[in-house]
Amino acid sequence: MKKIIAVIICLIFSISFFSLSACNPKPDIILDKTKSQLYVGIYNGGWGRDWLDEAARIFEERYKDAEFEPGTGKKGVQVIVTGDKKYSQSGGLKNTIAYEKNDMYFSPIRYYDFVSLNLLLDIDDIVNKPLNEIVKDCDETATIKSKMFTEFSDYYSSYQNKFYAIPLGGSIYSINYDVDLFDDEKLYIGADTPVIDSSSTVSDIVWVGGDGNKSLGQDGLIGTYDDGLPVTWHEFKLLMQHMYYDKNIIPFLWSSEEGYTSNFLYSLAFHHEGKDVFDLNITYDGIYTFGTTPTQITKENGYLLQGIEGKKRALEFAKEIISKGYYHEDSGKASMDFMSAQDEYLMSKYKAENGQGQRVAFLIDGGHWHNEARETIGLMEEEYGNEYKNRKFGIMPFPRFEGHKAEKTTFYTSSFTNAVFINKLAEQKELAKTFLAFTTTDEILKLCTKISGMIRLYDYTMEEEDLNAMPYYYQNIWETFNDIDIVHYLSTNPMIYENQGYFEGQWRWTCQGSGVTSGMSFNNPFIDFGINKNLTVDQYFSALKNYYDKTKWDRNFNRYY
Amino acid sequence: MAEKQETSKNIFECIFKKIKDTFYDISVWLYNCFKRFRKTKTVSAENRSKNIFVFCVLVYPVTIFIIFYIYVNFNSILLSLKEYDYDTGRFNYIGFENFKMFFYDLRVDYMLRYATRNSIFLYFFGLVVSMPLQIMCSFFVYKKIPLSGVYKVILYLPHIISAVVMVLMFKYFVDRGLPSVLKSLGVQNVPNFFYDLNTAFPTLIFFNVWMGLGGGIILYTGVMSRIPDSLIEYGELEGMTMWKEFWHITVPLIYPTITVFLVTGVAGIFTNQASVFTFYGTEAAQYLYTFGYFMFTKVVSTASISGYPYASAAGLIFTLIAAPITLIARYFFEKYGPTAEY
Amino acid sequence: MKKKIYKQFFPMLFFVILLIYSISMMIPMLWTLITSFKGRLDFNLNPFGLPSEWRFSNYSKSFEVFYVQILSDDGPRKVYMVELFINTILYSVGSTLVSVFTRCISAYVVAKYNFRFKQVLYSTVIITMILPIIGSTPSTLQLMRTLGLYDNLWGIIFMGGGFTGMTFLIFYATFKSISWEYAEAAFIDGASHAKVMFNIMIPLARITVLVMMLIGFIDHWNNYTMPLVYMPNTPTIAYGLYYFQFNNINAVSGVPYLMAACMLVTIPIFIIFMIFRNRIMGNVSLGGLKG
Repeated sequence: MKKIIAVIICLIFSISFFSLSACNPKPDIILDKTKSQLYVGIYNGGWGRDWLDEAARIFEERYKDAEFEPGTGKKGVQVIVTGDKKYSQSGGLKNTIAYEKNDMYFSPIRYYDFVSLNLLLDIDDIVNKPLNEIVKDCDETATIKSKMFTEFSDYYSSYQNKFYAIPLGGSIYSINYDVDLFDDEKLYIGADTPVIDSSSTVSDIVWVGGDGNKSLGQDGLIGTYDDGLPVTWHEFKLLMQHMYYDKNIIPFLWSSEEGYTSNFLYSLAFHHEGKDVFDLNITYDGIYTFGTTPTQITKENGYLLQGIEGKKRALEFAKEIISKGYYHEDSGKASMDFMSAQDEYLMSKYKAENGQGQRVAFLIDGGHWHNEARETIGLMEEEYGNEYKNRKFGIMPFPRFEGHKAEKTTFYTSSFTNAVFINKLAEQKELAKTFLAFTTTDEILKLCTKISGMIRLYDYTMEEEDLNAMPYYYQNIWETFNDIDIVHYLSTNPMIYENQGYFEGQWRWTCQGSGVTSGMSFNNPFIDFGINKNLTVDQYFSALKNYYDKTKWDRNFNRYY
Repeated sequence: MAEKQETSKNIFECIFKKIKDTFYDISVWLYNCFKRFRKTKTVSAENRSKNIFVFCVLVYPVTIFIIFYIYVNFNSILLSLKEYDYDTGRFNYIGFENFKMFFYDLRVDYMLRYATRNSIFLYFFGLVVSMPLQIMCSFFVYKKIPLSGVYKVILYLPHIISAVVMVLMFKYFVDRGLPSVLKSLGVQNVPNFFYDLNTAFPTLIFFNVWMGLGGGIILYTGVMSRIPDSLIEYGELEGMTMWKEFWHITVPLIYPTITVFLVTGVAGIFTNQASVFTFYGTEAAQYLYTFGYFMFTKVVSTASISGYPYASAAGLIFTLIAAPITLIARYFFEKYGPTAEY
Repeated sequence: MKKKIYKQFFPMLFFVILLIYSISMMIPMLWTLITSFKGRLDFNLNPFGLPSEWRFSNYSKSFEVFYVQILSDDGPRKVYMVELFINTILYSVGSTLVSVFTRCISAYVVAKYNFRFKQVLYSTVIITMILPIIGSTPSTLQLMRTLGLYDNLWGIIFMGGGFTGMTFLIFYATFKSISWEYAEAAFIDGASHAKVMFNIMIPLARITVLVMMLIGFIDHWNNYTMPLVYMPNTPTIAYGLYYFQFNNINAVSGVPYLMAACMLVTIPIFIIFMIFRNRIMGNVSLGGLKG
């Protein structure tokens, strides 16, 4: 009996094997032998790949008579886009890029790892040529380099003074708020409100709705997206109090996703301090005033930068929310991943209207959340009717703490490692370069923002009609990117890029307690204030300062000075 | 005609004989090669055939090992003595710097202290709670208590179902299901099981035990079923109780398998991650660290190439500590445990 | 009287323990099944109750969307569930047969014969279980490439034929506990070493062989990193599931679809398991020599 079963298994095995190898299933996209093929890989994360598919179609149409392989008689191009999360630093791309078929990628990588391993193609010539010389039917005289945000052009051309990749675009983690909620429940601060100082209470504020007479907001201008929104930290606290006690609304919701809340709070710290102070973290050359003592920051004493005021303010922010309970009880739980958080946030409107829960006002997530959640948004529109169509969401500016130093609105992000680069072993090098330049033309930059909401890190303007056709949230993101400073750890300083994981990781909030808090370890203010009810802001702040001391700093970095 | 056939047959035979001779020569040559490594004693035909047999059996596995492990990893083992140079894209020798850094971290960072505490605790917990539970459960399943057939299927389910599902289920039940049950029973202050100081590590242990119970039972049941019926019958004739049978027959006969798990458990102190990554990603709190997780975070996802040498050094230190302990443990378990052959 | 209760106590106790454990295993399974029929919004409103509307379409949708995109030489192609299954079966069966077989015979030789390298081999197995190798993927890939084993089912199966791992240790323990008398009897009868191993010793250990094959099969079935790196154009079910879960395929994201996909993936292997369970779970009693 056993023998018979064994024989049957062997037969099934061999039959399957031979049938599998013998029959060649038809490919989905028939390769057109009369055209050249370009293989593009994209990391299909929150921003999606629809914009790239659209750009690829336009490219194919425009170049259908062009010859990219002279002498073979092939005319035109077929762009094949594959979306997969394995095309990224964390997906192990640096091991497999040499064996993958893709010619170019749009994905997040550690630039220095890739260039030092000699995996990327030199695109310096393309980046420095005017676009109208490279791309067909394009009349821009600017070069890719001149359009690039300056924060990035230095970084991507630092290796051997040549460009090996160009930036793509990424997400900023901020407070996303429900505009409809603010409109309906009258949560805006009215223009008639008397000047608010630290003794003002909730009843001192004139609350108005969407069509009321709103205050100027942080930018001080009327008619902009931040009208009626709180400017100072005190105002923000009063807003949360009003929401929570008077309107039965839960202020905050966040997911347990790696880095979301840590980056958010770190960004809050530099919102307070500004770009100049952040640059100290990269150049280690400047003066910072701790309290009243100006101190020269150098590479040797860089650890002192744990004591910047902004970090303390961010801790106060977290402490206030946690201690007052201004958050959804499932926030940050292991089962609350990013998708569940988005669903919960969107569905809170339905639940509140049907007595099954409370409405949530703020979601802490990246700018890509709206694109990522479009399935839920679509389902809600379908099932619950017109009230749920075209919901408006926005980005709430961070509140300003006392002693606010930053000149411009500043955001920190670690997600701008998203880059466009070409495989050194690509088969179609010239074609890839042309496509790379094509996706940086104004036409495609606008297309990208229109379809996905992602802001490309180049100077371009959007047409009025396109803006009006986009969802409210995308318009808001576009407005937010107007005149801001973006800070990040993409630096040409070896001390930074060789230790990027350290600075983007544990340097933010990880530390060990000492003195009163000795024996405790901290990782994330939201979590730590939640589980240690008696932990104060000062204790956490001192723990940070004491943990990162000179000995540890020397140990890690003395080879740089 | 017949003559031609005969000559061709002869030629064929000649060639065949030549081939046979050549093979014989090769085998003798190989045998002579191995002669160097053998104790000098009179080599009888029996010994030679034994050695050839051993060689033939081991040639494929050992070759694969040499190619895919030693050759491939040789550079990686030396990695601990190097550092990555971003300018040239190469690793350069820097001596024992990485090891010094690791020992410093070991002294200062709570992370590794917690890892030591947690990993050792996990081992002893497994030893004292998990393993006996598995063995006793297996014993009764082997003894065919009611529903044992059903149990065998259910016990193996965690392994068949993808880990994706098991983890998601666990998260939802512990985060949302359990608190609502506790609340309805009137419990105030339901803890956040995955994050509260007192409940996080126990939750993790529970998950590991819960998932692992089934696999262990399957293995032990399999091993127990090799016990000859004759012994059981003998026991019954002698009037042995179940308990006596367990202690005097079953355990000694499955002792070698138990030893395997005890010994590899010691090795596992340094490599077992205990699912920390599954639940917390790369941002687990320090008091949840295990050695396996520590190694994992140094190497995976956000860590870039420049972190490899440090991870390599840490791994080497772990191995230098763990390997002797494991071999010593194995020596003791084998010497002082019951031995039986059947 | 006391003795009788005592005799019944322990079996009853463990019966209850196992019962509780099984229920704790079944309730989540049931929850998974129920969730797979819910709509996404329904799941948010009501994670633990019955679906307000049974969506069988979750299954058909998941089946349609469950694919891995590969770039074969003929062009990009979507590999759907059936083909993923065939790939997985070939990979699992092949890999398991080779790896279990090599470890079985290596362990037999190390356990039963004396030769110079015996201790070295055993220690190597232990050491390789502990020593973590950092950053070996690039060199392995390169080697596979040069040997022509990359992106090839045979290559990855061939690569698995080492002698290290837990399987080796378990076989070692098993063979150590098998009496050498059986073999000696056979030698007297004039059997060769190979014959003894194949016709006597391995059959005596066949339950262990079957158990290790089962465990190995399940492990290979659920492993997605190896096929992902070493044969990317022959994806397996495990990779399909990973791809499904982490890639933002917007038509079917969310927990209910994931549950449906997991159910689809689990049912065939569950059926195979049920068919062969008696064979592989050691319900076969031991024969062999008496006394």
